[in-house]
Amino acid sequence: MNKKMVIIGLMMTVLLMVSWFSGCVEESGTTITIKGSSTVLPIAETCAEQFMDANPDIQVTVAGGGSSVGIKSVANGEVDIGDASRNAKASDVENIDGVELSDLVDNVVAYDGIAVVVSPAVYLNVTDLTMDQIYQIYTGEISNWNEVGGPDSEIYVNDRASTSGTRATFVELIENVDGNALEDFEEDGGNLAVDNVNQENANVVTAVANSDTAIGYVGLGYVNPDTCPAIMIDGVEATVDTIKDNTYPISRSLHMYTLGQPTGAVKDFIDYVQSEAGQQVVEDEGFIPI
Amino acid sequence: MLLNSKIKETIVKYIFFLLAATSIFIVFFIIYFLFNEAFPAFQEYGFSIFESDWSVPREVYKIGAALFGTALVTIGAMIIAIPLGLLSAIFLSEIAPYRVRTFLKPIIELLAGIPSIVYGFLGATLLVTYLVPTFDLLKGISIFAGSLILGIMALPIIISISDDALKAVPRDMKEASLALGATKWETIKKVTFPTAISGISAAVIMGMGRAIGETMAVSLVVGNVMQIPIPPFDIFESGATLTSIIALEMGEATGIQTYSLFACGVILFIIVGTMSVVSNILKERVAKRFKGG
Repeated sequence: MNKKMVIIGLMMTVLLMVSWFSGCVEESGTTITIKGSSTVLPIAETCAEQFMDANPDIQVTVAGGGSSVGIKSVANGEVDIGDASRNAKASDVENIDGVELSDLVDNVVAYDGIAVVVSPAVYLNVTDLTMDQIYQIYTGEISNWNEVGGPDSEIYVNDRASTSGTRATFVELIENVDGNALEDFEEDGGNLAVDNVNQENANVVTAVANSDTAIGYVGLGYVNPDTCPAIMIDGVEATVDTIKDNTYPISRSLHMYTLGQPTGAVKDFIDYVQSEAGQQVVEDEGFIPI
Repeated sequence: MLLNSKIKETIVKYIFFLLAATSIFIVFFIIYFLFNEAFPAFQEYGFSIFESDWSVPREVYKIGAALFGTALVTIGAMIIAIPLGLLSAIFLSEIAPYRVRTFLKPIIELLAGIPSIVYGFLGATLLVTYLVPTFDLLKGISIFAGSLILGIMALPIIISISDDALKAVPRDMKEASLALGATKWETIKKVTFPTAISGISAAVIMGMGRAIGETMAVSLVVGNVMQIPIPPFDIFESGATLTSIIALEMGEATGIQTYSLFACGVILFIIVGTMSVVSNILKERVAKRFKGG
């Protein structure tokens, strides 16, 4: 019995040491560095894994940090690719010597659209809202459906957890007539007039489908015309086409910026993301392929 | 031979000690980690962390609303679970015939075995939809829904521990009461129940501990809005609990938000830990009381 214990102990020690040293394999070959938007992060990470499997001599490292960080880092040469969920602006590069906005090459890798959904009972009367109305519903200025042509009932407002990427896009893009976004409203100390904070898109769907008075927002893939229909925004329906041609207002493209035209391994990687396999990842992560 | 088996005995003893020590070590490790991670939040906010102000865009993470929500949800759950649980326990231990008892007890204990996500799922789909027309509400998602679900979840613990406590009351005490001409109800009211009261208190506290620590079920029905309802005791409004806010935001929290979520964990740990110690003391008191007969 003692011997057994000793043997087991030895085996565990050896296993531990093996796992320890295996972490120290020397890095060799080309390295691609990527940094930026947390929205693009899941796409970049999964594509990087698959790309490295296919090209064992190339090392791809992916980091988050946000769109601004991504654009700045690629402009000053710190990384090879800067992920962003918004377009680069002149102000992003104004403090970087010798780099103009036009030096950044925009590689669009996916589209992202958010559908505003309402309960089927509301959808009978309300099929179209303006951005301003949505803004006012979420800030609490509009609290009854009859103010926007619906039934006389209070509005049950559904939100997502503050850490959600979908929520970040939503509060950034929903603006009132003066051009103030929900984001600005919150930064100025306002609290959104929400009744339910949902963990996932699917929870929003359940809440909206099981109510007669609810509004919520979800990724386009979660819309169900029968239980959780999407309304038009400023008269534009949320479809893959309207998101792609940028007429649908709560949409954006996801970018991988490079400094100058991508070459070598960086070009191979971006080509991979834009290829069929990469676009499958885009779709799996809940975004719209290009 | 004798010496050999003695050595064996010693070795086995130390191995057992080591294994037992491991679990204690893990507990202390968890406590250390929890307090260590929460410390920056207390350092940043001091006692003002108990105020109600939670906003990611403004990067303010004060947990008062969650603490209040937990208190409100738990009080509601106990208002539902205590009368139901105690009356069921009295029925089971004192009134029900043997056959009924052997049939009912496993079923009640089965309630405790249902995973909490199942309660949550039923709550989010059935209960919440049912509440809207019943109480003429805007939405079923509310502190009340949370209380209802948690009340049901705390029931099996309250019933089964109170039942044990009532059963532990010596038979001769009850028989003496009956012999003096007291009715069955008078005996329960004046003899059995008061004698078992510390065990029953332990049961209630354990049930409460479950309600406070429960996460999955409550996060699906309570609304997770980090604000104190207006008026504060409007149980049909949405609220958040310490557990639900951790589950909701832990995934992608950064910096001080993480520390504040750990602070929620510390508060939970202190509350539930105290309850468990108190209920153990009460249970020991029961054991001592009846030892002499």
